[in-house]
Amino acid sequence: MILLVLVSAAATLYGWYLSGRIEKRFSARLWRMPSTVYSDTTLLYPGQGFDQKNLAEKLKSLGYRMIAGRPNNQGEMRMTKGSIEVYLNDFKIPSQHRPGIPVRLRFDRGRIKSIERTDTGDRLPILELEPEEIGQFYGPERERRQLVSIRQVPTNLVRAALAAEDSRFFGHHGFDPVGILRAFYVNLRAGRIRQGGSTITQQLAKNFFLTPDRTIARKLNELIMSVIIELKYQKEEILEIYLNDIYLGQSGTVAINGVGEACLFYFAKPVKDISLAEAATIAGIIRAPGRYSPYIDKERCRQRRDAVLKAMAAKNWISDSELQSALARPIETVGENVMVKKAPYFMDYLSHQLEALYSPDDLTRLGLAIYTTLDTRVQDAAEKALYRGLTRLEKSIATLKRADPTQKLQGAVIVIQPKTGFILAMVGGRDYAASQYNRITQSRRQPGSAFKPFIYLAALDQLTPASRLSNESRTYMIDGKPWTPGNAEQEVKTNTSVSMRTALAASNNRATVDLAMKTGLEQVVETMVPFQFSTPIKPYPSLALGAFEVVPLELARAYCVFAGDGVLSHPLSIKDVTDDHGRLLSQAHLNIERLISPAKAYIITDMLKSVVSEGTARALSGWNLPGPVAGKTGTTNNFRDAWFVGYTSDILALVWVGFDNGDPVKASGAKAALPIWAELMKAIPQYISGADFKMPAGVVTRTVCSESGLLAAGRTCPVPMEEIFIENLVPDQPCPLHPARNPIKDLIDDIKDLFDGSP
Amino acid sequence: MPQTKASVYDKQTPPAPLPARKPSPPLTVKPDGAQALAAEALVDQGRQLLAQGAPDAAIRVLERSVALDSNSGQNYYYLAEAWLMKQNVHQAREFNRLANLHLGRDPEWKTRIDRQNDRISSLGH
Repeated sequence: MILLVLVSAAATLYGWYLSGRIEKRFSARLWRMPSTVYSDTTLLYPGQGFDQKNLAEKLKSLGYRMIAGRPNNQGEMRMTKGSIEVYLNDFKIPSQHRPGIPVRLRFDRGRIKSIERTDTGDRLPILELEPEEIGQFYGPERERRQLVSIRQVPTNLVRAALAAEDSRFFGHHGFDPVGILRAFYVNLRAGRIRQGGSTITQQLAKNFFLTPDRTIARKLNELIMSVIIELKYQKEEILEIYLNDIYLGQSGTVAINGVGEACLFYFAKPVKDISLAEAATIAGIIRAPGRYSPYIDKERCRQRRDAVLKAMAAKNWISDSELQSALARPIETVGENVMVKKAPYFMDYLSHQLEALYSPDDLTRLGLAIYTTLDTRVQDAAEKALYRGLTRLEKSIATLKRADPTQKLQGAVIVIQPKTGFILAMVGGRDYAASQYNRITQSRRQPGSAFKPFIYLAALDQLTPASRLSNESRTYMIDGKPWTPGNAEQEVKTNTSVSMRTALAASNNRATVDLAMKTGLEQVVETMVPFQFSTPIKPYPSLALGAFEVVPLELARAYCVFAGDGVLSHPLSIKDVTDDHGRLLSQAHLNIERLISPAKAYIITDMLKSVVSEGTARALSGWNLPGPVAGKTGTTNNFRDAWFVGYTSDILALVWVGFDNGDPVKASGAKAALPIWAELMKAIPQYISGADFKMPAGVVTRTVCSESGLLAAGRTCPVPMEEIFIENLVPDQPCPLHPARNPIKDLIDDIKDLFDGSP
Repeated sequence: MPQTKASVYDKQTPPAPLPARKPSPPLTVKPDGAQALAAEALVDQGRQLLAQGAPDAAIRVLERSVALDSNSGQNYYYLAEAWLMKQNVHQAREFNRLANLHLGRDPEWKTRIDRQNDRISSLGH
């Protein structure tokens, strides 16, 4: 008797304990809503470089459906020769709301020619497309899951799921004795566990609370929990959670969970629109997605679907004619479009940024909408350019190939709008599935010559682009050891002196070290302080050649100052966060800080234009990019790192190529990184206006002798050239190397030229 | 124990068809593509939002304008105005400086920028 009481008490206590756990987790799950991350909106305007195909792809990725006729409903589009007609969706983001409107975009030679509303005829100077979903924070693996209410799920799909998994669901109380007996019999005959008699409630209990072990103790736990769940919750609630939770397949690195997501993945339809045959297909997959997925084995999938349909008919849930009609349907899927996690490195960076505001649990629970700065077209272009660039490099230098995916040649790209700080794209590695290490935000690599512009910046208080630097071989003592910097390119090995402009363009090591020493290493370090590099920068002569480590994101941020008139626009990834009712929770704006004068920024930019027009990045000219580009290559000792940081007046991108373990890339920044940059820029003409950098007040132009760097006016300098100067550093001395002009001799020469017919 | 039921799944309800929308006839519009024009349109939107007392919304729009055309200077002027409205002296001053950088050679704008700077300074004190 006492034993019975003790056992009863223990059972009650255990039941109470489990009930508490279920209550806590189950109720949290009922209200759990993943946070969704969105890209930035997309601006379109007449004159923008955006070809028709590219825009159509963008619209498709936003969920617009291509139709043959004229779009009459929101979400429809059609393409005709030279134009796209689209009925835009309603668009509501924080601070902005626009009802859906029908528009027509005309194209001409890769540009948007016009944008017009087709309902009113209004001509639009600008059009904004809604943000695109990038991903959700549902859990650490960021599964794909389109949550659906039980009211949205068609009856046929519910019945199909019940027929496939638990036909007596509405009749039992959490476990099904008939099913258990059947499974027991099958397992007894087999001498091992071959079949489960799990109800939907038991499956839910198993998925939520328990390990995948197939033990008697676990089965008992499932049973107890299932009964408790049934006691506490309505059947519809249980079914809704189940239908949203079940694993229904895998696409690349992304798990497909829930019927809402599965309908999109297999049939490209919202759950409410799927047919009976499609519903039975989905229900059939539940048992073993790896076996019954139509993308894995279509015939096996069809057999399983037919079994589900027949089970439905046996329950009189569908008529015989419905059965025959559905059985006659082939398995028609939308075609596997392997999903990869969109912008996965950016998403990781984002979750890190969000940590300051929200816990990881909040992100998976509160249904936040997170609006970011990412542009999916730029991200796509960056990913493709990096992949292709690395593949090309491995083809051209066979020894760079590695069989182990974790040891492969790596690369990273970040794209920023320098004047807003908006991060448009981030690619932290060549394959996220193989390595989640973000080489843009987490790695520390030597910048090599990509750091040189900052040495030249430090000198701009005293020197000008025309100043002469020594190109002679010199030995410096570092910690008691001699160090003799050398030059990489043959052409910069010979001259005894070079101008600052030429030295930077040619990435001249000797001259740059000479410049750093002239400026003072402490002054260089002092100049770098406002740029807020998190890695230490110490006053060694090798600093001039970038022989210290930087985080690539910080190097890109520093270059943004040159591109942004001397102003740092702090890199921004998150713009707005709203709750599940669209109420604004937090907002981040363009945040600027003046670091250097606009004049200095312009002078560095102008010298970096020479790097592209005549220096180490001159290969860019073959890419026919519109408008001027400023940039700098970087290659470190033994070719461990290859860099190119380049910008136009609109956009900046940094590309790094290297091995994680420091193996040599065997190629310079110009060969390894620059083509990736160029290919990326070619793919995003919408961001390249072709406009030149604007010369600010405080910068003046003078004609100087290319040999002395001093004024050429009135002298006989053989190669005079235009050079820019900060106003207070304009040379006031005439060139001493070449004598003054003789006006009479000049007149005679002019007359001679006239008779010779020379210009 | 809650009632066990199978009720709603016994019936089938066909989805109601969506009403078709009749489009208006399209008009031909003369294209005059220009990044600056688009940026200008955004500056106008930003000004209107400022007039409505919505500085955050104005900043969002003006940021887009900066991204399109950072040389106009007007976007910086109104960004300074928005930050002034939000009483953020530091950001207002930085954007005022940028406005001056781009518009300082225009006497009319120079006057406005200087006056704005005075307002920023008075707020700063």
